[in-house]
Amino acid sequence: MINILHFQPRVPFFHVLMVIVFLGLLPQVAFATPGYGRKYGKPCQTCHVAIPKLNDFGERFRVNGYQLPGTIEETAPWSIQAVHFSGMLHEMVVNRTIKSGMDAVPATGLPAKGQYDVNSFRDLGGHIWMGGVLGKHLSFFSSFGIEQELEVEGGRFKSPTSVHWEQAFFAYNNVLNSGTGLLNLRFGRFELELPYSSLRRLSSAMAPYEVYNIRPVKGAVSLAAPKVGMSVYGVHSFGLSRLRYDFSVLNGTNAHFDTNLKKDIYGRLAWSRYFAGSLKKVTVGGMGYFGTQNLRDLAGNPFPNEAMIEYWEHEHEELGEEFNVHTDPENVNFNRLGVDASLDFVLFGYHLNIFGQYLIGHDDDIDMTDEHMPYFVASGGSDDAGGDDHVHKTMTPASEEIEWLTRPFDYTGGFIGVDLILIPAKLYLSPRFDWVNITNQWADEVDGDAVRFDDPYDVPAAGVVETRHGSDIGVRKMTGGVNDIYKWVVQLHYHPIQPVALMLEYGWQNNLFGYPEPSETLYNPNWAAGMGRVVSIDTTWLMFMVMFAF
Amino acid sequence: MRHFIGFVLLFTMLSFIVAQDIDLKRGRKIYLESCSPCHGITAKGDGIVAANLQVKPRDFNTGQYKIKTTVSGEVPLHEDLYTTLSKGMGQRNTMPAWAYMRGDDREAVLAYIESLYPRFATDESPQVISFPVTAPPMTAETIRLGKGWYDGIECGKCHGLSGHGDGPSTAALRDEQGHKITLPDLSKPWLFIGGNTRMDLFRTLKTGITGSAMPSLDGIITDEQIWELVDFLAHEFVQPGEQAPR
Repeated sequence: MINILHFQPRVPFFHVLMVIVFLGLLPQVAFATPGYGRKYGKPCQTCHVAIPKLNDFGERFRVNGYQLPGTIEETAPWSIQAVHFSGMLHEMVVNRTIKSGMDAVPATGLPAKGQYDVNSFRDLGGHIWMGGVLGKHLSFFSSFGIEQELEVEGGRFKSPTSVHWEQAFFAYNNVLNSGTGLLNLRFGRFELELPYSSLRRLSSAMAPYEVYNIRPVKGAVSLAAPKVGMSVYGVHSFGLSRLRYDFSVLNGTNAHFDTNLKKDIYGRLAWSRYFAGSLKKVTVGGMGYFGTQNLRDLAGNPFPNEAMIEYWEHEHEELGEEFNVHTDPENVNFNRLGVDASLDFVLFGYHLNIFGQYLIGHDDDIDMTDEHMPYFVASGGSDDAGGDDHVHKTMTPASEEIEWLTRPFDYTGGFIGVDLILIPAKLYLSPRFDWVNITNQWADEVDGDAVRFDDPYDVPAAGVVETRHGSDIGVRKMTGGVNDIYKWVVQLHYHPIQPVALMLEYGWQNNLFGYPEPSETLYNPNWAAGMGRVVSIDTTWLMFMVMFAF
Repeated sequence: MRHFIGFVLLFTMLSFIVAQDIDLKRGRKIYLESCSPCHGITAKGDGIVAANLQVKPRDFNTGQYKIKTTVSGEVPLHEDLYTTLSKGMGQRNTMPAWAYMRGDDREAVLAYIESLYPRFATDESPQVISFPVTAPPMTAETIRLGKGWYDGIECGKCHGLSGHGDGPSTAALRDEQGHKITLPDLSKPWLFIGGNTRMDLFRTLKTGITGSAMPSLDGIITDEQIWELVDFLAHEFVQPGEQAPR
């Protein structure tokens, strides 16, 4: 074999476990801007249900360019007396139990069957926000996170302090002088107008909206993460109804570069109707995201350059060694389609918001090489001299015809939750249920065909199927073949005084979406950043968090 | 000629009615955009946001307004509503200052709000409380006398002896809708819903706060005595030290 191990650093098992376990702990921390409260001299609940979730008035304020709904501030940019800064400090303590239920010998980076307990302070850090009105029609928003985050480098477990610029955008508001946010333009890095904001939800960073975070290929687009691009968005009122819309053109990379020629498109329409009486508001909406990526888009630019390919080809010719490599830069398309509904009503004096999202995701090929994934070629096998009984992806000599196979990835999922106001401006209860079903994934069959053999160190074959290419290939599940993720989370959210929020959260998750790395004979994680699949790792957590906004 | 004059008069009247109707429609549209999240689409103070607010929004169908310059039982002046709309209410209250709203929009939305309570149309000249143009000078003597009135008329029963809103009656206070009242700490003048200048304090004491537990002192003590109480409050809480008489 060609020595490619230097491309694939071995990471101690426990550290990898920690990475996987904390995959859900992305830096998504509550988002509220006391600077606006200071500017207008109003308490937080003017715009927030509870920090960070916006109420109806706050949404109108936001869509109107951080101005009171129905108004246009005409301050000249050069006469601005002060830019409004806001900040938040936060820290959480987490008690977490991880149970790995994988029967198979796990692939690199996954925990063996057993139970693991973790207790840790985490997310010590803060956020600084600037935003507001720069002049007539012009508003801006910017947020910096300063946090200590989990990081694995060279097999070492670290938690360096990092500063990340999460959002930074300008908006040209009220193009038609409506004062209601009828038509706005936005440029920069911003969160998509998803039905439910990940930055303003009433649950911790441990419990993101699962279905927004499914990324088949590590580093690929996540709906929840801020995007770079531009959008046209706004709202139009028809009496007691309101129509929200958003149309965005984006880099599909969650980053500041996009190496393919196509732009990603996101669109959303939502209709709301207000009522008098106990029923307050009904909202239904739909969204669609249509994207394109190639391997160059991924973190670390894993697509091999010409020199690398030339070197590997040389090694291949000279030594006759086998290796797998993506050599096609073609784009791959993917899409996300969703519907959502929300209901606000008062029952026995308590205000409830019931909300739900259903989403369908599809990637044409999670290897992101369009239809150019090399089909398995027996490197040994009974017909070969080597006698190796496993097959794997290999670079076929140019003289032979290569069979290519598409490796699609499909999932459905969603969430349903309730935000209940127990004591106005003080106490809130927020239970939520998330689910995701991945209908085909790495090592699973596609249309009855086994398109990818599993790890050679895995359990014996569970069966043999006839592939559409006429070959019999053993089908084995790398990690037990789980396809479903379920998550329950309940949070009690308390504001003892205005700027302080205390959160107690209990969560339970059955299975986890992770990025198990197959052995190098099948797949080199340095070239493509790893394909996600559901792994049989259950987890429960009890979290206490304190936030202080200023 | 008589027909022509009649036609002109009829046309003028119809134009006025149509213009008024357009203004009300425009006012309702602005109301739905800017006011209804708190005050509700039927203006009963039950908007989608209201359940989470510590101080509940006004029910505009009752004609009860906290800040006004008319005597108890009278509807407020249009100017009173315009002032409240433009200046907002104290910083614990979620009613913002709509100073950035265009003046004609403010007039339109007030026209709509006033249309919800018929007495605004019928009570064309509500009885107005007379206010001095300028506040009388504050002296050490008026402050001392004001302290006497604070104790004498039992302000401390609700506001507490030290003004922190922790008097013996505080816990039982309810507004006219039965909601618990959270009294402002008098040492935090930015929470005063009617403003915190000496003139604002005089108006609030003189008229009371309609619909809340704060009574009108009109007829309980004289205007001169109200000013003494104002001086004590200003000296003790609003700007302690700065307004001390020289």
